[in-house]
Amino acid sequence: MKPYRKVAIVGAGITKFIHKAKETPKELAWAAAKMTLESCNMKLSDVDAVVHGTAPDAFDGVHMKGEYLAEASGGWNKPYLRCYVGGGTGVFAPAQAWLHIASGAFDTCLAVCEEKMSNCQPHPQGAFLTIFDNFLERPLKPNLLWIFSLEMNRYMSTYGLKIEDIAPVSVKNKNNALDHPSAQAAEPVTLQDVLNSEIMAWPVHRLMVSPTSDGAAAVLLASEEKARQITDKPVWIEGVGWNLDTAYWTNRDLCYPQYVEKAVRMAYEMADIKEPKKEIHIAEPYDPFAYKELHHMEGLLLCDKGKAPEDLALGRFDRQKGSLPACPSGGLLGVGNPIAAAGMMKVCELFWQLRGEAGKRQVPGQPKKAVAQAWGDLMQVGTVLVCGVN
Amino acid sequence: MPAAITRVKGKIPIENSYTSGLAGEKTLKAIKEHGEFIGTSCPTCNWTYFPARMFCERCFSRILENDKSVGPEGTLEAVSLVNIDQSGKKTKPYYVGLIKLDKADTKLLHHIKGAKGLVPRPGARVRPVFNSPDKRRGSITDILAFELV
Ligand SMILES: [Zn+2]
Repeated sequence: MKPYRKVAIVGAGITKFIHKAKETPKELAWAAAKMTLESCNMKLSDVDAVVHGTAPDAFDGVHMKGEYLAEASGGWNKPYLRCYVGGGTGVFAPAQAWLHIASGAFDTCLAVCEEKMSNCQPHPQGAFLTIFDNFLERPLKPNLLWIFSLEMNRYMSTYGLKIEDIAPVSVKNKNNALDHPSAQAAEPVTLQDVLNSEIMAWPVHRLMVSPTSDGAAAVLLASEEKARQITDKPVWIEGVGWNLDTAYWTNRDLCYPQYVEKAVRMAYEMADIKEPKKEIHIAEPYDPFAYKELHHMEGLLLCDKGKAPEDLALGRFDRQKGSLPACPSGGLLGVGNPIAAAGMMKVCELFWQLRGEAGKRQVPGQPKKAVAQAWGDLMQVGTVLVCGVN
Repeated sequence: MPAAITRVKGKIPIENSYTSGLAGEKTLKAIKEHGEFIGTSCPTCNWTYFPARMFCERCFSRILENDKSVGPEGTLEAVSLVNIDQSGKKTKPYYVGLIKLDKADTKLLHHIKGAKGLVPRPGARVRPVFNSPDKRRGSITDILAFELV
């Protein structure tokens, strides 16, 4: 796929990610959307179209949640689209907004993602229970952790990895998040803290799991001509990609996220990136679990298969000294995981990092190219955005 | 219970606990404590929302602090006589209507009380009937219905 015209991110905004917000989902979505417009001195009337990303209706407990959130996302009396690919939504939404503009249909598009998981009682896990097959799996009383513990185990056994090789992801991300003003789960944890935390489903420990969160995040996209009028620091979306593997999760080889590779190859081709390991300066891989960051770094072709833990141990992913900082934001493990908004948080991070506006989180050396990725649906979707500055 | 081999029963085991939000809380509190209708209004759009909103959907301004007292009387905009309940069963007929409260630009859905020999019709003036203060709990049902003036 070759884009018809160039598209840039020109503004970004995010609410705090917290365990239980007093605001309604609408109030959260509006806060992020409003902050985004203010960040680039734009008004609602300057927005041509709106894309909203939000995960299951069940979380907010509102059926037709896309419609429910429309005017809070700036969609009143405008062309409006809600998109949803589970956890992958946060990167999928800006990719759909990109399509709106790259196609020539619109000059500006606001992409807003919101999630309020605290509405869901007794726990949002209840909504996930029905993703399992009604005849083969649900009678066994599975929970979501079954998938992740088995996937982590498969990753470990394929490459001979130990829990100690993976746990440092939590240490890095939770510490990175100490510098993120929106962070919910930032903590100065040590490797011992992670290894000593409760084993929820071996080998997954509690501190290797992101929290449930309420929050919203947004970006404003504009065509090249419009972007240059709005800002002198546009962040170009150079490539987008998404891909779906089979819904029969048991039949995938869980040691490698092929759907991520397929998605990122689409994005790299569009962005004309031939050697991602050298050309990408910052990565925001989806990290709801510690092993997932490593898994995804490999799927993004930024590490050799099975070698991400080694790169991690060598400090390659460190924000200050690493050659390829991963999750400088603090990721889902540190900032929090309001599903759709979590992926969008990663896109916001690329925007601030590439503009040199990430404050204490700023990756040194004037990074020029970065990739954000999210993962979700029935654990089989990869969504990717490659951004760059000149 | 049908045989498991052809059919199994299941449900999504969740309940939801909804927040009224910063704006919703303001309106519900005013109803509960003062039997009063507090909305918020947007000076840019000259538009008043009831119940209160945090933001104006037309221009995106924050209007949470811009309280405006509306009603308590209003005008019926549309009305229906309903013969079935939520589950579709036949029930004693009751009126519902859309009410445009005085000074508000939005409409409120509520039960409408008919009166002897008087049928609620669009354009009719109505006023709220509140539950007694000790029984109010900060809910839209603290208003029992709107009655014809
Ligand atoms: Zn307004």
